[in-house]
Amino acid sequence: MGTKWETVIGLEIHVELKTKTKIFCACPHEFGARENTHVCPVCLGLPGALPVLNKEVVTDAVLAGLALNCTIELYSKFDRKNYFYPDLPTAYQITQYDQPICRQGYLEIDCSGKKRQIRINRIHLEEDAGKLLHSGTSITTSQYSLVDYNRAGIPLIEIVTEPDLRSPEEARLFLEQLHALLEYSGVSDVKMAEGSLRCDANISVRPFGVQELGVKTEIKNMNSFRALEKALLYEVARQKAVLEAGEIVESETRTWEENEGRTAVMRSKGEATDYRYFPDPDLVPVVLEAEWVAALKDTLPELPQARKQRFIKEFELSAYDAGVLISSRVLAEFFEQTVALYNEPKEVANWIMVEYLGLLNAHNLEIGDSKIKPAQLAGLLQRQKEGKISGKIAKKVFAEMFQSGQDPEEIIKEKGLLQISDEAALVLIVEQVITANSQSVEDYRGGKKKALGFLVGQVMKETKGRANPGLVNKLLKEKL
Amino acid sequence: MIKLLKVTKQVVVKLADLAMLELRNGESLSIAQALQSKLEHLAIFNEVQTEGVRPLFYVSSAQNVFREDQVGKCLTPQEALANTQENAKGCFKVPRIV
Amino acid sequence: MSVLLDLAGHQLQDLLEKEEISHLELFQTYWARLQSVEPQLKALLTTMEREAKAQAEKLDEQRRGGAVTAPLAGIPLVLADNLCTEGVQTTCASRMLQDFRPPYEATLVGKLRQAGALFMGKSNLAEFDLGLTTEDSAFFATHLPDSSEVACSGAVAALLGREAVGAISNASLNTAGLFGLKPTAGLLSRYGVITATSSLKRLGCLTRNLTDCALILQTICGFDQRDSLSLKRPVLDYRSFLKKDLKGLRIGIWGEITPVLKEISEKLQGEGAICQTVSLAYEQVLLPVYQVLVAAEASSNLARFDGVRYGLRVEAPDLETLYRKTRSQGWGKVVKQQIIEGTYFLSAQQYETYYLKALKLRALIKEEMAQLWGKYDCLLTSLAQTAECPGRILADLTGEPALALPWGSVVALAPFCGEEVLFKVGASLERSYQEGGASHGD
Repeated sequence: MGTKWETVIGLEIHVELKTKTKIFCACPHEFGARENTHVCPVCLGLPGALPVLNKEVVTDAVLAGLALNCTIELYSKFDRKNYFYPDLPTAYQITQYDQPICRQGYLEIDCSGKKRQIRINRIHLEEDAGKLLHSGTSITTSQYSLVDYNRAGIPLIEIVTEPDLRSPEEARLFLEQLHALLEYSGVSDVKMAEGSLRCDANISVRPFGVQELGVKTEIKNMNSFRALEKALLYEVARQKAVLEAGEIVESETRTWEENEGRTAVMRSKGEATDYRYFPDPDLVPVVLEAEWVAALKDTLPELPQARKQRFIKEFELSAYDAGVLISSRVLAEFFEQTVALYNEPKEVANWIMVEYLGLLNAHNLEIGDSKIKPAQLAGLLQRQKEGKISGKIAKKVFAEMFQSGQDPEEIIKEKGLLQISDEAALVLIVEQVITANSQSVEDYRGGKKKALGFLVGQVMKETKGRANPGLVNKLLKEKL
Repeated sequence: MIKLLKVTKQVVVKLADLAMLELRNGESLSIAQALQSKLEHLAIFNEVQTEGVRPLFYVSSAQNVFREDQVGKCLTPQEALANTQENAKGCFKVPRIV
Repeated sequence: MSVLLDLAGHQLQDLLEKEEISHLELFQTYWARLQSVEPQLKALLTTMEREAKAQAEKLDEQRRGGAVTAPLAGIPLVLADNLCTEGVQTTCASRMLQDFRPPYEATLVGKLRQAGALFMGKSNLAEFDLGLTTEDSAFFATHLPDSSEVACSGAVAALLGREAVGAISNASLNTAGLFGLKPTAGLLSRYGVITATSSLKRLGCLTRNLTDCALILQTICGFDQRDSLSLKRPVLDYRSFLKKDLKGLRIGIWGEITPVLKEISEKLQGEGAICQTVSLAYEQVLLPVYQVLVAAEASSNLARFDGVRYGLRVEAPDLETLYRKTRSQGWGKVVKQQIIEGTYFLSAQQYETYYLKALKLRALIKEEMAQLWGKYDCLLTSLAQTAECPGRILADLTGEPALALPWGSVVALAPFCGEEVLFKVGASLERSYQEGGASHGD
């Protein structure tokens, strides 16, 4: 067990571009439509149908390339990748082989305080294939499969990194930060759950200090950031075990089996298919002008890293907090819009990170799916500040806002949750509680400080949580 | 540079695999012979210098042919499936893949 | 035989305008003719009696209500069976597409339909247009009228047999007594045209006289946004080119000077053209380059035929068997040979040697033609005796237009968008031969 191993990871990420229509035809691009309702002669591969390139797709690909610091290739073209599979209607995928639209970029990631530049080898445009629905539990146990071509022809960019990543954690961080970057650029929804962001990994290990790369395996079917990290951790361990046993790692494509927590062989990479790439004669090249590219660059919105720095400076947030808030464009905008109405950035940040993200995670939702508006959160925090509701009540109201989307005032009114800060009213209740809990009173007077907490709790119970806790504390102490 | 390789039956069988064709024994042989003969005629390629010549990938000099990102007319699932009898639940059906 | 069957399309239009015959009568005349000669010719894979009759009746109704302005109103045409006709069987003369009814129509078909043309039927061709004659059709061979000779395309036989007045079909083949004009690549929309190749083997218009050809083409040429290679050019008045004179026209005579070619060049010189012999440096590689590119493109364009969405489907217990059996049973020998060869030329080890090399040679060929067009306005050649002769395929390789002439297998070539030259040369010769200068025939 003497060898120190180095992990080498490269990622291939497919991103669905957020256009209204498919890449080569005018069929709508919508998630979740009934099978084969978004198809036409072109994306069904009917004889005689021809592709015509969607202009928006070129713009989006260039924006993604600019966000990733790539060189934008002013001349690019489309090639055919020929192979047979039922989800590929023309038996070739239109992609870009040797002249992709973007090359040589990078994404700077922050790995536990260490900044690393992960290089992007290329970004190219291609069309997506249809969807297969297997009759059995998996492809290997199905007697037949059904094909839905709604997804055939959806525009994709494929982003290929250099093998610069050195740990599964780095890979996950990279993907998360790439996710944020692409979301900010506006080119994609990047929802892994819906398949608009997909990631495959190539991973190998080698002894530290050795230049040559080890045999790599390709890992597929990792459907979340965590799955990516778990799968790669497993694979690193597996490869190390193989090599330490004196055996060779097989060049394979492996699938991540989430339930079993392991990778399994999908196919051997031994005999690579000859895809017979050649330029698609039904399309013409894309020739861009440098001025157009430069003008497009100016339209890029503030990107995550820049926003993070601004949040740290402008709102005096910690790097960690800023990092969490910028991780999603929608989240960052929610934060800023709330602060614009209620100028307590640290408080808002805290509330969002603890209460809001807590609820979202518990319900497995994204912030974009939530009903709460910035003005509503601002209003809630304002009322808390003014003492109209206590902290505890505020959290309750927030939870209700989350469910119903109602304004905080409405909820407070409906449920009668205004904080009671009227001393006269509270004194009565305090005296009631003291009378009813003589044992606790004695305990307190006898030195048990904890009994006070119990008595406060009783007052809160009587007032259904609405009593001003600070005031209750003060009054109890006076009376006791 | 063309170096005339012998087009064996094995070569044709591999090509048939790539092209998803099932050839009977006699077919592979006759196809191989015809291809061999074709390659002999193509040896004339060697006689023309093309050093530094850029391949004519496109007959037209057109570039940047685009369409606007606007939704157009789709086929209905019935129209899409009309030319096949093997379908179920609005989808095309294929037998066991693996 | 009715005199109507000998008239040109534009002459029939005059009669229809003057209401000397009705559209229905014209249709019935052609339909009767078709029924009587089809059994011998077998030019058509599908007849479209119902559709054509309905179109004729519709036109008659329009005439009763006022004028009919559709430019091809009532003209009987045949369409090669690789043009998608909605709801009507389109087979490309292949078992692979037997019973295929496209759910959409080719742009060209739509244009012809809106122009009022009558579709008499879908004409036979070599399977997927990859063979030399209709002997390579999966269904049956077409014969020329009063002959046992196999026709290279059903369209040719249909026109010679008077089943129609014009045809949209591959005009590269031996047109035996017809005019066949293949416009510049991109002038005719390819959307809905089922073709094994993308950059070669284009459609053209076949007719018995050149005026009809001009009439039909100017109706169907034009930009189509569904075809990325479609040219954004204004549609010209081709008919107006027919009367233009040839003074000073520089004509290159390429290849062997057959008696007919000699006669033709003399006629043209008589009209003021200047004829000179030319030679092409790359003549020897034209056919090999063409063959490599056709096979390569075909191997990819034909991959979509796998039994899953349309066409022949051979039942199989698993996917790969489905693919292999369907594709093997769906195609004939010629198509399979092309696919294997094309796969070979595109395969990783051979790509540079064959496919890339062919494209480089294509660049040289195009460059040579560009030089030539600096010195000549038109090229004539009789190197066009068979389908695979250089004269017929040069235009496919360069994307430039060509006019197959009815005499001696002569083909006229012109530069990019040079249809005007072709029409005026063809028209001049047509007038000359009509006035009595009989050609030596094929």
